[in-house]
Amino acid sequence: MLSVAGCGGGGSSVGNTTPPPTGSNVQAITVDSGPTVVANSSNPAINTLYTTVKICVPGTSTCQDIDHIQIDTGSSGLRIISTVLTLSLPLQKDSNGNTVAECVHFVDGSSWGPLRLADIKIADEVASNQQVQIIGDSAYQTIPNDCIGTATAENTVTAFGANGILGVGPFLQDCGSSCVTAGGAVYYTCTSSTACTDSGMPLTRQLTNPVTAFATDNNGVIIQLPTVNGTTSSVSGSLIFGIGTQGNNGLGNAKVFTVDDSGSLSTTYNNTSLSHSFIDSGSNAYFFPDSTIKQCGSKAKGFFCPSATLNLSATIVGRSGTSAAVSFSVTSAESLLGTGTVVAAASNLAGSSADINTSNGTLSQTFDWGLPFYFGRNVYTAIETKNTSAGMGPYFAF
Amino acid sequence: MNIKAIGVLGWLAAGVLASQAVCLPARATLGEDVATVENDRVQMKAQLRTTTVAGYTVHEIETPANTVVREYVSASGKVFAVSWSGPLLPDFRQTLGRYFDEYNSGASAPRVGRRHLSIERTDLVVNSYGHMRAFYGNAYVPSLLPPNFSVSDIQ
Repeated sequence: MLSVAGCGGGGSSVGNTTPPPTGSNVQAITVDSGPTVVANSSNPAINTLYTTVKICVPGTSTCQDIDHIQIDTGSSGLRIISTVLTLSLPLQKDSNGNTVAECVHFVDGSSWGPLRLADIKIADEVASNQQVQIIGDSAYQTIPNDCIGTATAENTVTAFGANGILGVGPFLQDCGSSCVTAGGAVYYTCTSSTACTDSGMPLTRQLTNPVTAFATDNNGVIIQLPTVNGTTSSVSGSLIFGIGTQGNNGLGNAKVFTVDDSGSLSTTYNNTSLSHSFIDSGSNAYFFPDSTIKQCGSKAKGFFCPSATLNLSATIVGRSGTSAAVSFSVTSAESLLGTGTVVAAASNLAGSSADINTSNGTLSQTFDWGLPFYFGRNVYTAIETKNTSAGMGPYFAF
Repeated sequence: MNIKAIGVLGWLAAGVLASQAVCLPARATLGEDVATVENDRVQMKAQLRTTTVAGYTVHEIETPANTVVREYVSASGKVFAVSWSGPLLPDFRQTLGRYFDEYNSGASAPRVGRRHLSIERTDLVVNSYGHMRAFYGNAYVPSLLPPNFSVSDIQ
């Protein structure tokens, strides 16, 4: 069942909290070092959650399984790096017949490519004729200047750290109302593959959370991962589609934490309310402001390197006021990652979301509950406008 | 021209704002003169409000997509820090100006963090965090920080 137990070096272990669920809505997921080119690089993936997605030319049985697609509750929509794609997918068109391309913003980079159409199959669920962003598409190599200006380009598997990303966050579309009018350097219409112009994009043509296009189990997802004690080389878990739609996806005793229209909730840490906090499977550590914790050196810039493991607590507060105290530990990133063995999962990895030179006070109002938060929990993501037994999304529950 | 001057810490006279508004230099921003703030405002099709704190001035620019960019200007007239918050990232070529290449170099170097960015170089510090629909961050030039300025004042 959990064959990964004991794989990691340095006193690691993976605990088993519940038997793996089964059903037509259950997809196997893994934390490992990433696609081969990433795993073998100087920068293998850490705390990155992956799955395999099947995509097909719409309405056909011409399909391809693509592994190491990152699962991200911090975004919406499926994106695939062009170099791993062997299918020829049709281009999405706007109402004028022009093609549509996107410069998607992530915190650490932006990725450029057109929207194409595909049938997306995950577990036994199907999202037919959906937009998929093809990042680094060979036909769209001219990146507009205002896209180049948004952030560093992440248009290859190595730069992206994955073969693609499956955004299953709490929103129907990736960008939403901010992209309905032009000017944000996100959506572009293209009169040719080299002539793309920043344009407003109606919600219905923006990249869509594919879960919402499933015939059933379309109101959210559950990510279920075992406890990780220390470090390990791989972890296996489940991505379960739907909330309260089947016998295997009920909320049970989980508490609901509503989020605002940007996906944020609050976290109280060290008696400070951090109002721009969020839960995000796509972040690979806990990131929070604490100028009293020693920073790492150049090998792990931005991470914490306390001399001994710290046992800490913070309280997550939903926008509707629900709260829960969460305990977590922080171990030196340099000691976690410098063991000489393969480390793909590290439960105590944390870094600063404040300025790294801050000596008095903090800058950040952000507590980023990244993938380590998911270890040993069932974390529910309910999608906006979708009903669940605990009310309408957007919310997280655990 | 749609300038509104609001804020909690202090005010610049409208006349000062107006006199800045006529300057449209071609370059911006971090490390540049205060006049480039207006260039940024125009480039970002944004609104501007200004507050003055002891020893420095904060120019707050809000883009049509509701991303707020704050530019911190020293008494000597240099933009020594910028910060951003909002649903989309700002144009860093515009806001970081001559430091954009260094930002790019730091951001594209191998790193442990994902969906989180810390760059610390001799003449540029960048912190970027958040997620889709909610981006936050700041950048500053350590050598340009005014005396007695704490980086915790960058909001």
